[in-house]
Amino acid sequence: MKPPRFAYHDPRGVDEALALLAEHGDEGKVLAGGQSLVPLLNFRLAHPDHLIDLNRIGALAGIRRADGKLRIKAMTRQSTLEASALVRENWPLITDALGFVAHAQIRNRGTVGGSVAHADPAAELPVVFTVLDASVRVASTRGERTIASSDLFVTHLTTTIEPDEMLVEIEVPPVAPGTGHAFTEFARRHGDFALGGAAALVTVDEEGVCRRAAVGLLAAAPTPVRAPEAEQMLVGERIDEAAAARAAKRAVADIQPTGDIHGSAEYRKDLVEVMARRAIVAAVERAGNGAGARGG
Amino acid sequence: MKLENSFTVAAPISETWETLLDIERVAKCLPGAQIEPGEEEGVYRGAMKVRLGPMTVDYRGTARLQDVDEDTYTASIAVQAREAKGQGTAAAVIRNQLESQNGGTRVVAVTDLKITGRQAQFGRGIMEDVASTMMGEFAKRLESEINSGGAATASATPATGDATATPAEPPADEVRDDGRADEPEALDLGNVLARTPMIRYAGMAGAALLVLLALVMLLRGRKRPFTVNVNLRR
Repeated sequence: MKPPRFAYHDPRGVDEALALLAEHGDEGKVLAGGQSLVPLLNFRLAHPDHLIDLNRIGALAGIRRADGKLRIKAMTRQSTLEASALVRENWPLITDALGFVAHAQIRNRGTVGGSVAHADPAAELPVVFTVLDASVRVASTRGERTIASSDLFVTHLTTTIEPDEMLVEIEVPPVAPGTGHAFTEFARRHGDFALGGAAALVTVDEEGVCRRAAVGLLAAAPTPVRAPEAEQMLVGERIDEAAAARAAKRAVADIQPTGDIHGSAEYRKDLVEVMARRAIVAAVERAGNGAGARGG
Repeated sequence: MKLENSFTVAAPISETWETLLDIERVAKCLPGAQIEPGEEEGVYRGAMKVRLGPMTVDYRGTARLQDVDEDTYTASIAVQAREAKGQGTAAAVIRNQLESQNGGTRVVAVTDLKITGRQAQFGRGIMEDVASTMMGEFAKRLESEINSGGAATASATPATGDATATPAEPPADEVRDDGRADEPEALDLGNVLARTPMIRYAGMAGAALLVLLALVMLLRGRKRPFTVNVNLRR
């Protein structure tokens, strides 16, 4: 299993990388952590003529909070994000979800930006960022632009990032005080891509009434998806098991998961519903206990 | 494996019928496809390039028109395709049935698909997904091709080497001047799907897409594709 022949570039700075992308974007590919791309190369499913390795660009890694927003540079390793106290305290949904991403060794290499740009609908980070209303900053020699997560994902492995553009940073807005979070997924073996999963953020007021809800579904469609109708059903409710079950049912009403040898579409739909219900219940519990995010 | 798809074209059945039998015109409605007449009457050689994420698949093959029956408005296309860089093959017989519907034409395509190689073990889920999505895009382009009477694309008759398969209405972002005008555009699923969609009538696309999608399934099954080789030998 060896990759096909390609020209290897290892730029030392962002500008150099962008110039290479401008020149080779159409026939080239950016290499981040390589946890998906390298197997694709070795199986010869991908055969780019040029590989642009970002691993030597130190300026592309780092986590900070600015203007209340969490800013994660694209080449930040998943394990670094998982270990971040800043993230655990203020955006615990991210920390929880990272525990489900493959295995520790893979998270040591795998990058946050790489996972988002790869856009697998069964991957955890794209769903989590969708639920958090995050946006991504992309750059090219033509300039920079920001893409909301709702406009980012197009279909399996496809985003609105152009071939000459590169994801440089992910921006996550603060989570309101009184918000509980939960991430659940089911896979046949630990570390496998999930057959289905859900992420939820539920904000409750002092009376225990839900003020805001965000529910995202994993492996439920060709992209990560939110469940806006289900979210609306939760707002204004004192959410109990029954309310969570109703919302979960609504969340999967319109989805058409893709069936395959690992699970039929019907099975996956049922599974995602169960995952969504559990995520909502767990998020409400945390919000009630004040154990969720305390806000940024 | 049998797959069924349908789409409607806002044109009378006779016109749609005529267009669908002109495989070169049909191919023009497929982004990424290039087709030229083969040695025999009714046999065409074609190439199709499909892009999904980091993967680009180049297919080469032949398409043959067979069992054409004007009385019942049915025709079949038999496709044999092979990966240009790789061992994958796909064979498909696509049986098309036309019927009048509210002044327009409904086309039902039943595909009998045989895939060999590592793709063989995959189910139909993702294939159906994308086949349905793409059929819409094809129908849209076909419709404008029919309505323009072929004028829109008449100048783009692909010949060997120097022709760019010009779609009836190229998405803005595909009209990039990238200095590669001598190559056919790739069917970028992102672009196509972003604009709603679907195909598979002309078999080149069908086979290419289905196989491509099977590849995706290969990757989706396991967290790490490293373990996939276990799968491959099953």
